[in-house]
Amino acid sequence: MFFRGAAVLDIDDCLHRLMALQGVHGASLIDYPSGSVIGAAGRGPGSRDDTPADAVGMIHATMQTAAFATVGQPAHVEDIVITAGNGYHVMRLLASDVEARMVLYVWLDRAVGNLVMAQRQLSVIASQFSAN
Amino acid sequence: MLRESLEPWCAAGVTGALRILDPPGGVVYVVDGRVAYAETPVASGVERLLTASGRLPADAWRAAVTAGRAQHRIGPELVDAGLVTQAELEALGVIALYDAAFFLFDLVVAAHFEHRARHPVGHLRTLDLRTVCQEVDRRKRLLADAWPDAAIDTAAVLPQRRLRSQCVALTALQWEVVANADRRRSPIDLARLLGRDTFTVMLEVRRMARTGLVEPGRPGGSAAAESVATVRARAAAGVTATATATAQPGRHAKPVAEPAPGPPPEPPGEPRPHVPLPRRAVRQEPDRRTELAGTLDTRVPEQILTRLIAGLGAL
Repeated sequence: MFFRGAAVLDIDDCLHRLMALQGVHGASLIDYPSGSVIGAAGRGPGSRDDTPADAVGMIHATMQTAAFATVGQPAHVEDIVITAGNGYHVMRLLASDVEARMVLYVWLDRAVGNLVMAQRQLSVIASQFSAN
Repeated sequence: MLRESLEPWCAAGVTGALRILDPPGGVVYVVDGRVAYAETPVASGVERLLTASGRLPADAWRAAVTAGRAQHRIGPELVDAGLVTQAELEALGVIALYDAAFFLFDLVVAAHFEHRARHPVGHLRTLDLRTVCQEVDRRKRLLADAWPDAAIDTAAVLPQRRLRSQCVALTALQWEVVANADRRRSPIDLARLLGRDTFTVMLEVRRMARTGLVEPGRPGGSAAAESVATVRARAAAGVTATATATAQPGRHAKPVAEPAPGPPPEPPGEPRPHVPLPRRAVRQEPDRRTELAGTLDTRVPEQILTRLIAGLGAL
């Protein structure tokens, strides 16, 4: 395995790696069915309470839109990117063996942040999050 | 309430476990003053989330328990064997913690603190007590918004046999619920069966009830569902008794105490200090009476705990 060296990856490691991205404002791990924040670092846009709820609402909306969800694998959405005035909001769904219930959320600065680098880092973390 | 009994222990930064002696039973583990884990028979623990969901074979879990139970290393055993990652385990630990806290934190029960007791799973992510309390409150709000009658959580889930609409969209979890509802299982039973956290299943069932996809049937027959229903009925009876009791001032102290039976909490090895009487006068303030009536039983242990901690600090 390519990533075997970094096998003991905990939630704080995931968040630290995301916070090391260029122009990042905040990162969090959200349990999407319950809307609970499992871990968070940095800051969220607006009041802290609303961010996970908004992210969850966004994912719900995307999942229920058949045109987006059924391309490729059935109901397979990898990530959702929102380009807004206050930056890029990236929600990466983690696919575990049985269920995909975790979402990594990153808020990037629009001027300084690098969207592609963030997506790449999110993919790397997603692949290491669950043991295969 | 239990969350108030936890406060002094968390404030003092101790490590140990608060064991709940009354039904439904459960334990809240505190590590260095932060909430590390909570479990109760009516919620899904890490074991259920891992095995009943099919994430791990039951044998793998049992092997890890055999190898790591004594040293509180079940989690590290699983991680070392490459079966789960530390991040995954921590995430499931937080989900299980929130799930149990939802059922436990607002109970008025006898509980007793065991110093240095640790959960056999081992080190998980620890959370601030305030964070857990906020999450419990958020979950209560979400459930009440989706469907106000809590009786649905312990009633059999009855999917509609026929729908009026032509097409329906379900989330994966809603599908699991509908596919496994045998017209007897309550949301609490379904969560146990599926290895999902109880809160999420209760929430999805309430949401589906709101859109008319399922309806609540008869009260569920399983022990877990019954336990939740009994505990809730007792809490409700406690509130009603207080309301009637406060209508006749002067003699409301007795009826308040009655609906919450169970042994008084005993701090082991320490003499019980006197219960200060002036507290009773405070309870007669009309605007705070419902809130305080619920906390009546915990006022005493909380004070004892605060004193114990002051004593320990002096040592």
